[in-house]
Amino acid sequence: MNALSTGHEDLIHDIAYDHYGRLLATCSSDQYIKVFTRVSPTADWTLLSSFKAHDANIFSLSFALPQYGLLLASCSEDQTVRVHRSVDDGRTFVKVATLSDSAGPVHQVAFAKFGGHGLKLACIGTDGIVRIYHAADPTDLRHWHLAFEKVVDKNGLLASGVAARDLQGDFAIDWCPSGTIRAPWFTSNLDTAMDDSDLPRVDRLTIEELAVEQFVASSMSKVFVFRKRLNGGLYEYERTEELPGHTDIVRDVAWASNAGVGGRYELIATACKDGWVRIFKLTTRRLGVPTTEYTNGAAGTVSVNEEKSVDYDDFAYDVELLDQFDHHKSEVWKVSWNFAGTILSSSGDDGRVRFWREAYMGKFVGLGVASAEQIPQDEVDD
Amino acid sequence: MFSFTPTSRSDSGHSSFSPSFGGPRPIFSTFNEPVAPTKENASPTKAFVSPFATERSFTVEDVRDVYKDDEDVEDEEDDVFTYTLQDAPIAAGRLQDWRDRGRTLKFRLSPLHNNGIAWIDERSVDGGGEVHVAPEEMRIFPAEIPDSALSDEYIKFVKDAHELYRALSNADQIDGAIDPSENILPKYATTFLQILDVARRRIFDERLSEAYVVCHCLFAAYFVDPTITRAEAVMDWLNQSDPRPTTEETSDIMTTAVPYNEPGFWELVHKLALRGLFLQCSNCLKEANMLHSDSESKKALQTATSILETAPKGTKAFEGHRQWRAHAIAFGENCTKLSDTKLRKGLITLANILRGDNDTILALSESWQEVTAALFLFHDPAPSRLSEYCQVAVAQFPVDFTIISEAGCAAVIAGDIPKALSVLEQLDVCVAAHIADFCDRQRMLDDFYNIETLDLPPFRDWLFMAHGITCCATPGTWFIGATYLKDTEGTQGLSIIKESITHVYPDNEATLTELLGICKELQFDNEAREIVIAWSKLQLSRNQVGSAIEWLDSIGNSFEIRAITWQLLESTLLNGLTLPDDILQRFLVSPRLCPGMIRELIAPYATYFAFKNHLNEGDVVEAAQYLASLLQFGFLPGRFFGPLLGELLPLLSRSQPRTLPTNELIAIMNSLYQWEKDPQKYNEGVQFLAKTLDAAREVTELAGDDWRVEYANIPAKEVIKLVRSKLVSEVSRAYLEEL
Repeated sequence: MNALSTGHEDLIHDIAYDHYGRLLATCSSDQYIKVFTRVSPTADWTLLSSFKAHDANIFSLSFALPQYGLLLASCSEDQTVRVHRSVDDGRTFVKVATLSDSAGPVHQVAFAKFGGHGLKLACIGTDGIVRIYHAADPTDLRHWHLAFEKVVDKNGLLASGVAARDLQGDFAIDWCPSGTIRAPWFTSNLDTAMDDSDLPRVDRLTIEELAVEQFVASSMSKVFVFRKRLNGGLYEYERTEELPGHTDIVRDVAWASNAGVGGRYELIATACKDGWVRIFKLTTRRLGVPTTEYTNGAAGTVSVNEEKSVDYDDFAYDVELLDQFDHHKSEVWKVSWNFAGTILSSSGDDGRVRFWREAYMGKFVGLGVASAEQIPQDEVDD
Repeated sequence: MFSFTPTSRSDSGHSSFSPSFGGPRPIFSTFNEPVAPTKENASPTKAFVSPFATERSFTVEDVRDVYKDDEDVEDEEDDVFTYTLQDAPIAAGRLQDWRDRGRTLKFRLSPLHNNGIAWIDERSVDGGGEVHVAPEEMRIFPAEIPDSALSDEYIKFVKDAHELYRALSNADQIDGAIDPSENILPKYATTFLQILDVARRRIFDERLSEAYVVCHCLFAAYFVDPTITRAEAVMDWLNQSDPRPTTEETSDIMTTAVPYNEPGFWELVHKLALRGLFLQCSNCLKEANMLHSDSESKKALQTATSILETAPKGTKAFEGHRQWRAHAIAFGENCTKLSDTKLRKGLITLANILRGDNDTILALSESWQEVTAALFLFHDPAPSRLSEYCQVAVAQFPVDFTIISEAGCAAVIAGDIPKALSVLEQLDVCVAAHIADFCDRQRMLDDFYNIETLDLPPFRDWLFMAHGITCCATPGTWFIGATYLKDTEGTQGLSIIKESITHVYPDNEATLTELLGICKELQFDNEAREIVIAWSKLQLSRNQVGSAIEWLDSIGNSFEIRAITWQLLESTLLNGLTLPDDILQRFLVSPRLCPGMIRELIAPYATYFAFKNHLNEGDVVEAAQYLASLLQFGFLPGRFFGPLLGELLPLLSRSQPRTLPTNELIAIMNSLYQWEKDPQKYNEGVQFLAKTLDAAREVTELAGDDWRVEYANIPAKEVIKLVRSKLVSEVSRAYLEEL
């Protein structure tokens, strides 16, 4: 397929696909968002709509899941996150909400990717704070509740709480796309001789049994997993595991679907200024953290039984660096997974897109390279 | 399509890559490199020794061996398949300049398909765009995952193979466990081979052709048609994959006046015999124009042709082989007495071939395949001896591992099926998956499964998953991919279906129904709900409101139906009444005929719709009744109250007969009072009323019966006051009239 002139008047900072890969949105320093469509997955993109969305550089875009209608979130140097809605299949977009809690430019915005999590929007900017917004009533998009905000990591930020401009700080966030957590204890007692219907298969469990809200966020050179955990009777986001080993600013994070590995573990890829693409493997480990358990006492009274109180559903991840590649030999800026979490792409300053695929043993191997550099004429002639 | 760098395949050892084919790249191991020799067989002089030729079982370590090669390749960047983006924005050799301009490349994969978009961004994240932006830097560059885009021709092969797979699965289910005496697999294997043959001829792809050779070899060795022996099948495979002697070689000699006198005559005869081409060999002898007058020579030639023509074939071959071989041995001994040296030597060599003499066959053969096939055909066609013959052959003719198909065939002949599958996977995942399925059904992979200690899916399943993922990511073959994924053990395949099913765009109701069918079959209730809600949103954007409501009703989603009702009311109050689609019209006009939940939830809009219809028909009294009941509806959102009060204005005119009885007027006044008491509801109502008035002012022409024609320029709060005043006035009028 041929390259497409977007009509932007400045550099493009991000692109986003809708859930089906049928619509494509681009954003630019020209403060415009453009939406393209294609009649089939192999056809060329054609411009569907174009609108001025912010008052400064637009850094990132994200489409919501289609069950919430056609919603597009954008974030900008103007320190806001905006939500735009289309009711005519992308031909026009109307701004329905402006979220302006950030104290600095907002670098990345991402709608939750798993339906069971509700209509949630995460963002992070130069103040290093990750924020989660929730539209409790998806039919009324004017109201977004700030459900969570926390500094990812104070290191690297100025005393004022924002990253120095000359550091070219970067901040990224990505939701776990899978609603499934299959902990080792979940399958440890499985007998392959069992009748299939007896197996507690992931695909037979309900959303409530499976959905664990979690995302990965990076601030400068630190990367952390955040997860909702039971805390005082309420599920709240907490910073949990760190993905260690980055020696410079992390440019991007991407959480893979765990479908390709049957939910046995999670994979998170990072793109780093130190030139490495890293793939982390997160294997669940049961914790059994003590928590408060209320039991019914005599005559309807309620008492607290602290000795027996254990949250049997709580877990942690064992984090392992599964693979790392420095083939770009330069700064890596973007990582992206396919739908099954079996193919990873990375791109960077070498003007190449590199593809990696999961092999039978679970390791990743090179799949190929797409180069943005033209072939020398003499080689073409050859 | 893509332009390919000249270096992209230059080191691969096997020649061309056809961009028109675009079949899937291997996933089991790294593509694009030849099957690198393992440490054991790296030397070209060292014989190929299969790790599975011995008694020991297959191990996962054996599979790992394949990966050692992959890892070696990883670090050699030039060995990775590379293509250049269409309209590549960086001039050749100017990468550093481009970087100096502060540019970088970014890429994002599509949520379902095997492609993505690359674009150029600046490295300075805080802007500072002082560098002039070139036009090509404001473009986006579609890019495909290397070798993942399947051509239409290849998709046809995938579909044909899938159809055969379904047929085999159905037959297998009906027959239960495959009865060795009535094995259905060879029949299906033959058909698969035919499908593959047609595809490779149509697509002209070298890798598919190589996969065909390996596949043919494997079927010859393990899935032989009962009408022929395995030895015949193996020889048939050899003659097809490497035909010798060629037609030209034969005709060059046999079209001369005296073929017998040609220097290559005996070479031709021996090669024909070696290749099991008995009839052709016999004909050569008959048509050689030998000028022997002595009876013993004539008799010897007659015996030779007789032995050749009576070579046992098919079902009788195995039993008759021993006796036929004895004839060949006796014939060879008799030939030693022949006086004509040339004839004697030629016939003795022929006899030695036919009796399966190792030295003769090794001396006359040109490849390990030829030696193996000849020994298998002539020496002892017992299947158990095939790998033994292979070892003899490769001791003299080492396997050329730079040719992938040769490496695959060597693994097949040596009985190393997992390795053969891994080689096939390098050539074509679809073929590898189907072959693994055949092997699995024949229980040829049992040993491999049994020793698995790691938490890995069975190899056959893993190949099907790889193929299924490719199908799911290819337009038009998602449902085929889902079929394969469903047929794999455990939860992995189902998880992949579950992950991808909501990404399939339901471009029509038939696709939607098919997707929901799969959800139902696999009990994906949540995904079914998500698909239906997303579909209803799509229908709404296409103005198919009735259909959207109908689908939401099918999953009992009252929340969304209620939201649609209010959206309809809001849109109508703002923009005026539009004609509903057929289904919605049916719901609105014949509420008794629609499902209970729909009837209940769309009632507010249906009431407003009835009000407008009666108003249009001039039945103002009836219309007023509907509006009054809507204004008294306890769950009416506050924002609608203002505009609905406005709708009341034309009905309260003194210039026309009274439309509402006293009790209704008082009830409306009470509702108005309640509404004004709630500040939030009141404010919302006034704001929305103002919005409707604004909208009216912006529209050049309103419908004649639109109340805003007369009141568009009055502020919202004044409208409310006016309504209140008119209501009071109407109540007093009613009182006077009732006196």
